[in-house]
Amino acid sequence: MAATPTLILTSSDGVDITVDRDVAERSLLIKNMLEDLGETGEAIPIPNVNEAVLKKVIEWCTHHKSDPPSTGDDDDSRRKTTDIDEWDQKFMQVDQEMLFEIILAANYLDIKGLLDVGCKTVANMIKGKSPEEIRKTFNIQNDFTPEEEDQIRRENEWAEDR
Amino acid sequence: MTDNAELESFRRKWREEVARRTKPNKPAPAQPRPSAPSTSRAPTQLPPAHHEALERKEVDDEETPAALDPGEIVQGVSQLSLQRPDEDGFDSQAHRKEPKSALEHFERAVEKEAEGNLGDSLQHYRKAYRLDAAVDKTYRNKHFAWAWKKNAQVAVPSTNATPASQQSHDEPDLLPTPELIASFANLPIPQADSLVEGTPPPPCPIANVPSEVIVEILRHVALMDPASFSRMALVCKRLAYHFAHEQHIWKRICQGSEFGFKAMHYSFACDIYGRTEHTLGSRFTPFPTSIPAQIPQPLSSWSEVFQIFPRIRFTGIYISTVNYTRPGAASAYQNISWNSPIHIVTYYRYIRFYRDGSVIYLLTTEEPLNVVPYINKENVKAARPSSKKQHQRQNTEGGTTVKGASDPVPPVAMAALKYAQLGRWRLANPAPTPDSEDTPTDLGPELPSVPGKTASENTLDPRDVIIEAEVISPDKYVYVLHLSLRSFSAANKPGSKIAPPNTPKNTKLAWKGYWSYNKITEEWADFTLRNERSFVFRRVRGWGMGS
Amino acid sequence: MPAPIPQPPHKDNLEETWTFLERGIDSVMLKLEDGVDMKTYMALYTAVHNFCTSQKAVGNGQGLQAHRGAHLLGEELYKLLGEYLSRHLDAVYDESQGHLDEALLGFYIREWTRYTTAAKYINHLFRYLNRHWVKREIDEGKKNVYDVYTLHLVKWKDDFFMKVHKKVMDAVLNLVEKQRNGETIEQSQIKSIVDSFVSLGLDESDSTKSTLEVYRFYFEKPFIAATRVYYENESRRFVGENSVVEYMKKAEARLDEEKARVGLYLHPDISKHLTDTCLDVLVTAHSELLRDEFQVLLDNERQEDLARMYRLLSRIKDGLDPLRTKFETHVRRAGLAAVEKVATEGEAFEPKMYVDALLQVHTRYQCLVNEAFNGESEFVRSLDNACREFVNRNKICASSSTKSPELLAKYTDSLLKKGAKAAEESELEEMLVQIMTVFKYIEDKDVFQKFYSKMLAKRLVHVSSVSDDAETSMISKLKEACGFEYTNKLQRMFQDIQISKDLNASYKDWQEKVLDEDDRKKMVDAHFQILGTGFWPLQAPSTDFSAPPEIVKTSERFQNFYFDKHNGRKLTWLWQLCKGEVKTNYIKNTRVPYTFQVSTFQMGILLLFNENDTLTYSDIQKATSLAPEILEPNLGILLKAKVLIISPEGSKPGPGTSFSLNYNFKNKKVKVNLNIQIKSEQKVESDDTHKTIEEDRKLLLQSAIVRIMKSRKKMKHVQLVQEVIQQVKSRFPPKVPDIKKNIEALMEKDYIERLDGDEIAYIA
Repeated sequence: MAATPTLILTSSDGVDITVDRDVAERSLLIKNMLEDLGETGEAIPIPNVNEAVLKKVIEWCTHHKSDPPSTGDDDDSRRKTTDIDEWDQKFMQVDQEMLFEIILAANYLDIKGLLDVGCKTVANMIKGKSPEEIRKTFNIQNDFTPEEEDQIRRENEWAEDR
Repeated sequence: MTDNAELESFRRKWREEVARRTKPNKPAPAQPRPSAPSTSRAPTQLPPAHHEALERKEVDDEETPAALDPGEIVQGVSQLSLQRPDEDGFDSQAHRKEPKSALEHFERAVEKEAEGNLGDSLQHYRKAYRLDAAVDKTYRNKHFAWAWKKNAQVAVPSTNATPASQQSHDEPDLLPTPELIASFANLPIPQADSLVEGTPPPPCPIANVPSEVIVEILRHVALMDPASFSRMALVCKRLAYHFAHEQHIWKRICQGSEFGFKAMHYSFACDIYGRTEHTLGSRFTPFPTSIPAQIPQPLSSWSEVFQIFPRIRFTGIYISTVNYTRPGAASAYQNISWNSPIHIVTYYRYIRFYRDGSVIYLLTTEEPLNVVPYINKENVKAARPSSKKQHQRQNTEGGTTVKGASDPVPPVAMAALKYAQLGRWRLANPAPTPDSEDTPTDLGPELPSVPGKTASENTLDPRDVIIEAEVISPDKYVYVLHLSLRSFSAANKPGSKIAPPNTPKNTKLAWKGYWSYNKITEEWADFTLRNERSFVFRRVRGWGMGS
Repeated sequence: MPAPIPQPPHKDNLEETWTFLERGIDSVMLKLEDGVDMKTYMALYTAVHNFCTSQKAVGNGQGLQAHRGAHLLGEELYKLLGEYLSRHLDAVYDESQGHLDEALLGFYIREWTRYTTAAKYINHLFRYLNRHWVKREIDEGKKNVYDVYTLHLVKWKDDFFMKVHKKVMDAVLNLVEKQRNGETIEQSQIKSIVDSFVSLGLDESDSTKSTLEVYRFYFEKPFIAATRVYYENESRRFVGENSVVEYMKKAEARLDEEKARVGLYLHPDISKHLTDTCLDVLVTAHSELLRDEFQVLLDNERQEDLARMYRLLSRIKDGLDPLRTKFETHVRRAGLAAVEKVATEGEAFEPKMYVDALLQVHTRYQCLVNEAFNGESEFVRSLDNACREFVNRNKICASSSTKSPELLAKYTDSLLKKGAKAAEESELEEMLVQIMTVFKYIEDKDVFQKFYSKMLAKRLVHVSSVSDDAETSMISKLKEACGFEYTNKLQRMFQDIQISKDLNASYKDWQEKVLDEDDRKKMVDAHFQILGTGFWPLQAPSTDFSAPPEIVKTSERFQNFYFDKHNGRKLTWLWQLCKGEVKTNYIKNTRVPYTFQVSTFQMGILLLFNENDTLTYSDIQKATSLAPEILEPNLGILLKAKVLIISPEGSKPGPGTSFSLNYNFKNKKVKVNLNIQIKSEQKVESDDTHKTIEEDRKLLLQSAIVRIMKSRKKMKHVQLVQEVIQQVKSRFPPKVPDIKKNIEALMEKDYIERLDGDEIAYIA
């Protein structure tokens, strides 16, 4: 084998990006497709991800290309859920719109590791905040009436764990 | 005039309380009858909270559904005094300034009262009323204005209605909660309005995230801290729906060791000094992941399991506050009316549980604020006379960086921690094996039988907690505490259509037995529980979040 | 030119999305061989993803929410996919109607392969649905929701398989029957069908696992049933037309064939069930017939057929038990018959004949057990039981069970005694091993011990052992079989002989120093054996004897030497066992004087004739002090050898007769052995041995009782008897009345006493 085999991905905005096959196969979607169709040399259209996000995703996959493949859906039950490694933390220092774009792309491309890191990052933004602070963080409107809010508060009070 | 009556009622109860506690020392008639001078001065004053809570009921009589709810005080206090939702009252002394105004004194009094420290509470009430006879009204206007005003409109006088519950009378037509939540199912996450009219609203990318991903995020939040998860429910309707309906998240929490039952020990997991005891077999866990987990009867959902199934919390401290009175001679304070020649002494028992099965047990007169943030194993070790020399080094040593370990420990805390005892804990095994022949489990010595029944493992209540604590000097004794998890039952206020607040369960530890056990002769020496009060859980910031 | 890219659907529109997907699925399902291009593949996946993540899904009105809200979308797609598969499978079914038998199998396999290949693709295309909507449904315990691949299997099973499985199985069974009848078939077809049936087994509780339920019910069951019918018919027919031996060959071949069939194209799960069925039909159903043949095969020693029968019957439950009983009886009968043949010889038979007869039977059947019955321990036990029976209870033992050990001991003696046809050492060893085989079955092992030690004593005293090695080897075998206790005395006897050798050497040295010239001239060259009283089965002489003065001198000298060395010991001279040689200087007609080998008694008589040529009976009696019953036969021997001449001529030795030396004695040999055992002596000896056995048994029983009681202090009578039997069993089979008698005896001696409630206590 001379060089690592490469693939071409075409982003939703029509940009071709060349990527190592093993990097691209972090995406279970791409891995399954290559398994089904074999390699044809055609560019692979990624209709749901634009160039900026796709590049970001590829960056992550490149860094994580030698991670062991995720086995099951619950294999994180043993890992500490709050752990995000340093590189990932830095990687996720993007604006909120990009953060959610990455999460959506990971979800679409079926990249479990990246989806996990993204969700954890969002979870960390939520942890320790009051409802009002959470709303502010994500620009969410409070759609409760005061009565409803109180009712829900009472209902869920037990989980506050004081 | 209702208000007046209620205040009167509080005071009467409080005096009874004092009297009852003194009784063993002194016959009741010898009690001086305290007249309440403030009553006449402030006829419209109303006590700020459920003072009935002071009547701490013991294990057996507290579970009547109508029992009053001291938990609400705790809740109320936390709402009043805390800036951030997961901070606690022990966070830092530094930014607590001494109360100056009448209102400040009153607020502090309420707080102390909630902690159960009647002596201090009393001091502050006295000062508050001396500074402003109508201070309670000011207090109510500040903290309960919304309820107060509505109450005034409806004007349904009720002798035992409390501000917090009075609002219920306004809302006779609320949907039952489950249906209310169900109605949120189809709502989007609403985007915030523009800050400035005419400009585009701020971006709300989370609103575009599909449910499956939202749920994934919520799962991570829940595993970091279930309390944060519950706060998500108050953000918007859609998230409230998820909170109530994502049972698989609750199942995962229940099965996990982060906050769930994987971290509960049903046999001792370590020795009394916290050294792990290894067993060959797997330890009992009520919801193993290896087989499909079943929701225990009669519960119907995993959130209920998490809520109701006996569970020890690692995210805070359990405090038992005991007041006892010492009759004192007339003192210089005599002139500060209140007419009491009795000294109230307050002491505290603290228990901090660890996931690894160890426990720290401390008896001190030092109040929570001064000592709780510093209760951790490093400090306990450092406080021991034997390890004085290592004290200087302990801050730089590795190990868990618990808040407080990196801060300088005030001498007052260090002095108290000198008497902290290390120990180990376990819950009663809800499914004791008939004969533990295959995997011997360490259950410690069998408890002495209480009159009428033996306390073998089979007769333990599944809510029971056994703690063995070292006796610091002689090695042959061990203290054994038999406690039992209890809940503050939420009172359903008469005439209210609203369900009572769904308060946290199993946050109280009631006494069932307390002994000194001689390991060599296997003899039990009984401690009297006459003065002991139940432990109440208080969350402490930063505790128990790591695993 | 690339095919026109299908227009991606509007993501919120179910109908559009499905129309788009259906076209894609169709090409995967029906025209996969044409290939699917990446754009289409990605477009299909994306359509599923987009629909599932769309915020507003609009369908044809009812059934769909206006807004997805908190719910996961996908149910509609899942339902439509299911309906599509049902339609596809209906079409497949219609087409299948036109096929039968092997053609149907071919069709089934072709469609199955096409369908499952497509299922893998579609499963990947619908992975987003699997990951979220399906997973959630399953997590929440919804029944009848599966991942998309499994959905394909479920549909196949429900909509196609359930309609055709019977026809497919009929075709399969037809093929198998053809093969059983010897035709060649295409096995791979059946293998593919098996694989397909196995794939359809889904675990209801966990869709990632499969069960064999479907396969077991729809394949195994009819397959087993058909197998049963086939072999029932075949075996019935075959047994009617062939011998049992032929049938066994057939059955064995069929069993092997079916076993091979599993490996060739069936699922291993069927293996046990199939084998059990074949065994049931081929063996169990005919087991009576087989067993009836057993005796015939035994009688004719048909080892190979016996082995086959064993192999067949060993595979069914309780198949062999009746054979074992028959075998045991057969061996016992063979043993008894062999002994009877020996018995026809009358009293005269050699012990060797007897032992050989026993051994021969044992060897023959042990060989059979090993070769035909796989050395199986149960058959070994049957063999042992039979041998024990005919060794201890046969015609020759009819009078007394001690006959067998006696004969065995005698046979052993004959082998170990000098003079028998000296066998090669290795041969001898082998015979000793065979003796041990018989010995193992002997119940009265104490009897053997008695006789053996008697004969050993003689061999040692008379220095007539064939070899020390052989003696040691035999003793160590006995020790191995019965323990140290059993051979203790035998070993001590050996030691005494060794010690005696050393003693004689030092006695010679002593004589050199002590004797003067005169003494040395008159000295008799003597050899002494000092035998411990407790270990040797020897008795003091039954007669008085005045040794001749020449001997007395020598014996006294030795006694002095010995008592010097071992103060306080007592020596008893066993004259009856001593022997010597005398030279006949009086006979002139020969150049070399004759040497007579004689017993001490004979020597005592003959030496008298140094002084007188003629002596009367009473002279001799007075001089030797020998009792008449010893004296007379010895005189008889001397007369018979013509050393002495009796007068009056022709009379029997007795009072009134006189004896004179025969100066004209003549013999071919220079050395004449006169030391011949007296007939009556032999008989008496044997009776004595039997008597001491009874005595010894009594002692053995009593010591066992005392030993047990000493350790137990108190026990029930019944228990005591049991324990005694346990302890003594290895020596001889004790009789319960004997034990009771000995218990009584010990009570009388106040060793033990009887308490209330049938309890016995030890008296310290």
